[in-house]
Amino acid sequence: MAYLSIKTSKLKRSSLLLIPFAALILLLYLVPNLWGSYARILLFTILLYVTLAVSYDVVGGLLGYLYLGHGLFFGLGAYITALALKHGQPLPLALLLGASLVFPVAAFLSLPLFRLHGAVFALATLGLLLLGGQLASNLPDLTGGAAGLSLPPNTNPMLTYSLALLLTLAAVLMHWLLCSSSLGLQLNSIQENEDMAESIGINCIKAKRLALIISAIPAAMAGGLHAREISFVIPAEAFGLENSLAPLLMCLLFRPGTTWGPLLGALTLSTAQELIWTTVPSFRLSLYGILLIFIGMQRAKRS
Amino acid sequence: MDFSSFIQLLLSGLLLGGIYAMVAVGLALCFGVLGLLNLAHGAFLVLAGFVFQAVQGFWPTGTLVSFIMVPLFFAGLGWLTFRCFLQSSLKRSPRDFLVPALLITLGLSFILEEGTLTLWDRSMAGLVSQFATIRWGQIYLSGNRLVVLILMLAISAVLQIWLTRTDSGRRLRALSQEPTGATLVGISLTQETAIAFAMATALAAMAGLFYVTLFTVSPHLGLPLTLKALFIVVISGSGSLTRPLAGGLALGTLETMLAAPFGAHWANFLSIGLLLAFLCWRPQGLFATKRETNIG
Repeated sequence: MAYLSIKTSKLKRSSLLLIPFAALILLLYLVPNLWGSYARILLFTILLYVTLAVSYDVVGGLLGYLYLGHGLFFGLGAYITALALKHGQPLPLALLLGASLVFPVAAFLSLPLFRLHGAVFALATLGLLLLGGQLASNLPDLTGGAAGLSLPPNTNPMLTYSLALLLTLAAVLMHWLLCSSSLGLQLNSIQENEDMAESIGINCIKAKRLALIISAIPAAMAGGLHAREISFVIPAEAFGLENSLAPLLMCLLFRPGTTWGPLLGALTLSTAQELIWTTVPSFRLSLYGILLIFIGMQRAKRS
Repeated sequence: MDFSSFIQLLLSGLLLGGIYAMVAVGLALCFGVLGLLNLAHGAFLVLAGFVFQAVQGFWPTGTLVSFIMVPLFFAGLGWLTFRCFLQSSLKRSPRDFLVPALLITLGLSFILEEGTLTLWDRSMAGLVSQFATIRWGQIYLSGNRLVVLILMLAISAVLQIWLTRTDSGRRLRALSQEPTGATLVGISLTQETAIAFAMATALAAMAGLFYVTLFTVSPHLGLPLTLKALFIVVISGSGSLTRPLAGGLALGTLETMLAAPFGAHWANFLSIGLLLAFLCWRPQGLFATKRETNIG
């Protein structure tokens, strides 16, 4: 009963927020029409980062695992969507295809992965990301190899942007509902103490596998939208480490395991990136490096 | 495949394996003593390769001196890195330290990689051959490679002797086996672990020198190399340097053997895939008994 009351009170409180929320969405939708394509591209990037950060948080925040494989699903989604688009499919269908193909991949990979914990889990997911990149460059007939895959030009950029807005909304809403759902609470209790969670009857493996799948699908769709937006996919970028690290940092920067934490992290970091990379382009990786060291040292002191 | 090409492959496999083994031994030293999986190891290796090349560039006759000076310099760099970033977190038990340490060392590897990229933006080819090629029937072995192989074996032997026969090596082993007990009898945890980290970085630098002698080194090489070696270390379990040594040699040989029929790009894919499969099959390490798990 206590769990139910949390949920209803949360919904009641939230109905008040609905009006400013709707206004914000309308504004986001209108901005590209008012300020032109730079604003659209910038907002598109930020929206994708928000999607990635919020979906990363399901495994990295709610479950609390150090997870470096988010970019794998981003890359898979990018490639599948790009291939579907190349064969003349419309964008929404291509995105759905990406999501529905990533679903079984995530379901399958989660089985061996969750035999692992802690640092080894992190290393294994990093290994999977590298494998994904290798696979994409090793199959030149399908993916164009290391030279990549070019798509026909994007004729309807507003459609891409609207879909990104929709995806971000869906991801944030999903995360927000997940936080107070029984799965979210299960994941939290696994983070606190896995053995204890198991002993009170939580099916830990099932919960963790669900978390990975839930987190993989928005990432795949974000990858697909990214591929459409830049009309070009190469392994080094689609399966690049940055697609795993950016969401990780955005999630861990403030409060992992909440909806506003990764949201705010994504907004802060993507704005910072835009400012820094347009002025000091060679500072790309070091920014991530410094943040990683900072977060790592904070965590070491806390644990 | 005829016999002589088999031997040829085996030899190049062992050389590649020697590099893996050196990287894995350095990482195992960190893991065994500090309980630290160091993702920045490969970045140190790459940087050392580039520094060595640069020193070679304006002082071609000083090879032997730079072979000693570069690792010493990197030992200092490793010591400094440890004191600045890792030491403050070490007071916790190694088990809690593993995940934050991964974040810190990953961050370090990015900064090192970008530093290398800023100073040198292209790949570096190996040294000009300084020793004559040895020919034996159908089998060729470049003198450089032979010298490297002998040096790698010598370094492993020295390391083993240092760990088993000297006081400072014994202190390290004591710490890795029983940290509390070792601290109680007056061994300083921070001092000894700083030494271990400095040694491991020096080993990475030496591996970098050998790597640049044998192959081409590029700024992005670090992380995949480190990851493979870390997998070997985790699979071998803590508390041994011979198992990662053997694991590294085996992986290098296997990779070279696979490269002959499938091509180098698939060999790399297969070797990472195989290591991952091993890891998921026996997460507690291949040699651990059912009860002891070395990492959470």
